[in-house]
Amino acid sequence: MARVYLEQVWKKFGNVEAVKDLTLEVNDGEFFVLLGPSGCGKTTTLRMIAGLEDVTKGTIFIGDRVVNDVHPKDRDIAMVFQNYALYPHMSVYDNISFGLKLRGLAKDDIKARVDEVASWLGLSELLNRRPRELSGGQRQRVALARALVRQPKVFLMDEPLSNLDAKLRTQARGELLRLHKDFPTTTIYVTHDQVEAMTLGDRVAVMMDGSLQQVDNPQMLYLYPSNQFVAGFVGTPPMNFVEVSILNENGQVYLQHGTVKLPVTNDMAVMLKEYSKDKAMLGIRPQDVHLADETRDIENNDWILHCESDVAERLGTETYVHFTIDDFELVGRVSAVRSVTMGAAYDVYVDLSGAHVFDSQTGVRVCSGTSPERMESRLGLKDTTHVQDSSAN
Amino acid sequence: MALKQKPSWFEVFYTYALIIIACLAVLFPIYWIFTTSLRPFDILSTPKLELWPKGATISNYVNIFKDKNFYMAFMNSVKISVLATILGVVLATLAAYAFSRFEFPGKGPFYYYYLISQMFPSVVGLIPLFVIFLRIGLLSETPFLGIARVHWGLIIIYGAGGLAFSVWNMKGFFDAIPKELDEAAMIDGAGSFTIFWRIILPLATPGIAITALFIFMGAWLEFVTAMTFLSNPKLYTLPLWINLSISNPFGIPWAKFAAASLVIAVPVTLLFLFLQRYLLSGLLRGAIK
Repeated sequence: MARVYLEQVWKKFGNVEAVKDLTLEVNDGEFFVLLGPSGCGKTTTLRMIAGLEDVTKGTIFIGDRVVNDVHPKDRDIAMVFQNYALYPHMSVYDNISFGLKLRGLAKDDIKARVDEVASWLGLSELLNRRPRELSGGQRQRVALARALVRQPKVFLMDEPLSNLDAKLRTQARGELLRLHKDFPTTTIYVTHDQVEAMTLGDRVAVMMDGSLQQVDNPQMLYLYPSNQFVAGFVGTPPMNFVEVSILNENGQVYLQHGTVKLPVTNDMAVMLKEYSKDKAMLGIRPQDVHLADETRDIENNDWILHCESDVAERLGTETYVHFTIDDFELVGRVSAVRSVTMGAAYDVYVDLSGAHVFDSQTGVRVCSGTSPERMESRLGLKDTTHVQDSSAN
Repeated sequence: MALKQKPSWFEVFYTYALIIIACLAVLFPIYWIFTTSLRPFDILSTPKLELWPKGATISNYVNIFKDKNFYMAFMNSVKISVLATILGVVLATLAAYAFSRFEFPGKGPFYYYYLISQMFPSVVGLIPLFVIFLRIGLLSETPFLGIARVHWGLIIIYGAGGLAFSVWNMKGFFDAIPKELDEAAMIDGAGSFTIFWRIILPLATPGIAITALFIFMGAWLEFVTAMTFLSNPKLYTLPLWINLSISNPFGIPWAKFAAASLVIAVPVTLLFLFLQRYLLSGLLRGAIK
């Protein structure tokens, strides 16, 4: 096991900057997820750690060793590829044992280790088969076995579940968690799937256009996104955004869009009074938008809006309804048993205590409905010192 | 598959008609040569269409196998063609692997140079090669490693002459092998040569088989270069032996020529049948996804 540290790492392909000034620390034994849309530089980052891409500028440490110029085979890493990259002309046994053979292990040792990993991953019956005779899920497990058997310092995984169907992916996610619990090896996992990132990662780094946006544990990432991109990328359905004017009337701060005028929470007011701009972007998660008659604790009656229902997405456990008011749309969560008539008027409660205000130009979070300090006591979180609270800027 | 309709009788009819016409077009000349080889007289055609020659005989074949020069030429051809094939396959796979996998200065121009060199007829290089080989002693009959130097010259020409096509062909096969396999092997601990030898080559066997067949056929049947470089009948290859054996002031002995042509085609056919099992597609299945 080892920590992985990237210090001001840049990667350029010609004139294209794929990774920009990335500094990251992955702790020893941590399950660390790199999350972002395609083209954000997450796979390039992983490949630089693996040694499959050169580093244009900056330093990569594995343990205490600088590995910039170390060949992939000497970095003591193992990698699971998105498309598995199994050797098609070799049996499952040979695929798993190839790395051990190249490292000159004794035949008996190799057999013992392959057998152990194979039985652990349920591959014992398949050792003599060729990859083409396996199902997608089995191939994925062989790829995993090939990495596991080497007992490396660091596991690198490049979207290893993206080729599986939804049911198998959920199952494989559980297996990966179990695996990391039993073999707590430092793992760096790349995905564009935020559900995968949230369920697997001890910590998640969100990237966009080659730049790091935020590093945090999944809960803080969800509750306190550092900017509008992270807020929109993490969470399903995505956060509602609406451009608002900031009004200061008789000591009370309001956010206004058209005829909608919402008084802000105390925590927001403190920050917004000092905010120099008069326009901002309000972000509210669908989970904080409800039907007023379904809400038990209505904190503020001025947060009730008169909306029209447009479309409903029924998920079984809950229903997401698209409400319209003036010229914007708000997606809200409604209980699954409630029948919603399309085109009808409803009183919708927008809980601003879970909302965020972002800078219109930079997208950086200005403030939140509930400050991290109060949220900490509400959720029982202990350590929030690593929250990148941009409101401090 | 469920959407596929049963073909109508007309579709079946014209599909088979085309297949039969194509087969006839390919097989009839071979049949014609075969019947000619069985004729007791040296006639290429008869006034009436004769599907089976009157008085058919295998004497032409018997005469070939009685000819000591045939065996000598056969051995010369085997030596030259096999070594040229080995040389060509080794050079083509290594060059194609470099073109497929590595970035190096001049990669583009080099590759185009290869392809452009293919566009000149081989006869263009004949005189310069003759002069060069004369200067470096590759036209002499003295043996080197048990093989006449002039034969080494032919081996080099046949092995390297088709490189443009062979490299282009092999590169296509290497390009089709996902780069992730190289990378997976690299992380597993393999160096460049191990990756080439244990991962890439086994997966490119169809390409190697085609390249080998191409070079072997080229060397086995080549006439002009061999005719230019070889002067001693003892060093002749099979095409030169045929030329020698049908030289006749009273006209060309067509029946003998036909029999000899068929006999020298046999090894190529056997090689093709042997290599056919390596020409299987689907070797890469299961590598990814």
